[in-house]
Amino acid sequence: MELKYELRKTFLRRYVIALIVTLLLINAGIIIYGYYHGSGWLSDGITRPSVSSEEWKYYSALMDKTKGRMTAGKASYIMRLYSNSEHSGYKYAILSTCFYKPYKYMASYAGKNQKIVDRASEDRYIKSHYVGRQLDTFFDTIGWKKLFSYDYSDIFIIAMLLLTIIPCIKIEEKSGMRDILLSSSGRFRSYFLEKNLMAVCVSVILVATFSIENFLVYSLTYGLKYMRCPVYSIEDYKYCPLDVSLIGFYLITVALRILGFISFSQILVFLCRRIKNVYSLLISALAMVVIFIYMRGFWNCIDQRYNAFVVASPFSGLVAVDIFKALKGIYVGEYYIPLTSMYLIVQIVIMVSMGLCDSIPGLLAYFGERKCSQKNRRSFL
Amino acid sequence: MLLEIDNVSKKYRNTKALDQVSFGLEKGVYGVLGANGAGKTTLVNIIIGVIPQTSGVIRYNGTDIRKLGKRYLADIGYMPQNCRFYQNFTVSEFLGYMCRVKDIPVTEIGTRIEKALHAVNLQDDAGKKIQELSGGMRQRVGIAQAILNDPMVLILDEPTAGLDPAERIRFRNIISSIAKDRIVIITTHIVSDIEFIANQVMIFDSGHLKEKGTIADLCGSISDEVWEASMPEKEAVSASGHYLVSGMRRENDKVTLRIISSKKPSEEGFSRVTPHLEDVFLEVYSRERGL
Repeated sequence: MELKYELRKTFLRRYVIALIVTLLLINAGIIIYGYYHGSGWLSDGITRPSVSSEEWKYYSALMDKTKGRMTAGKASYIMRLYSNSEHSGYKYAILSTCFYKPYKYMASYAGKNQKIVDRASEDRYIKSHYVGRQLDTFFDTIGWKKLFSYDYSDIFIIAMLLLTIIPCIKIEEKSGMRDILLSSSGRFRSYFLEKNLMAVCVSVILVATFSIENFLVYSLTYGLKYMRCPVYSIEDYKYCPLDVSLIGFYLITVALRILGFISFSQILVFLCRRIKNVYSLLISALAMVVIFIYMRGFWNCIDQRYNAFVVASPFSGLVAVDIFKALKGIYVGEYYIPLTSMYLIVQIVIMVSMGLCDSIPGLLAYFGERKCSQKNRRSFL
Repeated sequence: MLLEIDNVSKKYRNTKALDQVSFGLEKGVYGVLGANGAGKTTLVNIIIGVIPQTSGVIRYNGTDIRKLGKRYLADIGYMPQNCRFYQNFTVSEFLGYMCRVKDIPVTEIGTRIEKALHAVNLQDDAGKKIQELSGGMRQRVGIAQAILNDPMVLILDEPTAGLDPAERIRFRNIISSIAKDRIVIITTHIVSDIEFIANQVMIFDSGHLKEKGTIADLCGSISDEVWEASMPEKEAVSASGHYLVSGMRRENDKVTLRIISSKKPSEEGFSRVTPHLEDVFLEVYSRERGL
């Protein structure tokens, strides 16, 4: 298997690398711009550029006293400050938004969670996934919240996939290379399998690159500390069915993103082989993007019938951070299947079927020829 | 070694691109002549296994190529028309890739590339990028990749398209040198490409095989039908309206007219001349159209 040649054809080219670097710079710029010009710190939390030096001094002093392992002493301190405050002014706003409410949430999480587990009674899934949870570390979660909700890089990845996969296949058709490859003994591998694998590689490389960049830039700007703390340290994720650390949660969402983009890329390769006209192909690909984005929007729908749209859309993996905010799934008999598990299964089926459907005749011929040549060898001996 | 095309037809919706074509090829150079749309490329695509025929069989050494599969493709070398390859690859990189595509063992790749570059006289350009090569050099890269697997059947589709006369001659010489002990099929609509190197010529028109034979035999079939005369321009213009003109050459104030006619022209000055392959091609083409 010579994937390096497939990548050399369109991905590892100067103008493509330059484009990726440009998009990475733009991506970093968006994050940094958001850090310096974020939308009202009361809704998002507090960052150094979003407040005055006085406010930041007050916040930093409080954070230094209260961050880390939660103790009764720290809790009482915050309670005392809150009770004695004038309930107006910047000190009250910072105290309430950044300390009192989050500390109260974290301190009471274990008890509230246990009540839910107790109420669930016979539900094995809830009992197995939610039992024994507690939070013992208080810290500023704004960096992680922002990282999880950031999705601009998805647009860049979609653009790069369209700009690399479509030319890779179409240029071969237009240049005559397709016929040379199809008339060669290694055609099954070179024209079918390696194209699909190239699409997988490109998806993985792009998602990994942008995900690493996002993590690094958010680390440098907002700060991403306490990464081993559970994901439900962020109140938005109090019902998250995954009992994993913040960094573990990020890695899982990156993995689901990779899966989603791999699935999308396989469908794109499938379309490229079938639609001859490049303009029709581009329009179909863009229409597909719009449809998949629309389909994934049903993740928040109460009506479970719309789950079918969510699991069928490769781009639902890109909103896994939202899907994991709640326990979403269906019961099949007495078994509870989370939405993300259904999504996983459906996307794997899509990937494999898109990847194999062109290769099946080649696979059959390949194995048929191997059987034939083994038979010939045996008869010769 | 025998490649048999047995009653092969290819239909696209309502159009028959090939209609019950049959012929057999042994070692040698075969020219496939035909106008645009005659079915040459369709025939080539069926022979190399890119598209299936609607009906008929292609046999290689007595076995249906569909049953042979990979074993047949390992014996094929193909160069498509106007192939631009991968512009950002160097010549040796591209040939290295083609070696992998053709399942050439890794240990033999270096030797095969060297041999192929030597055959097409591109040894000094191995490190150049394909986009830096001239049209003629790119065509030679096309031949080099086609012969990497030392094929028994070499198919070149319109290989001289866009080449200047010097490059065409160089190309013909390369083909002659590598054609030993192989079946070489060259499709073209430029007669001079194959006139000097083809052992046999096949003329296609509208999906049918019209003529097949050696150049001598084909020219001999119209040996009594090609005439030339030198006359004033006015007479030449008048005569050209009545006959099938295969050539018109101005010399000083006269025009030399070359025509194809089964009967001696009534105008004075016409004498019989030796037919060329171009005359044969024109005769077949116009015969089919009732011209």
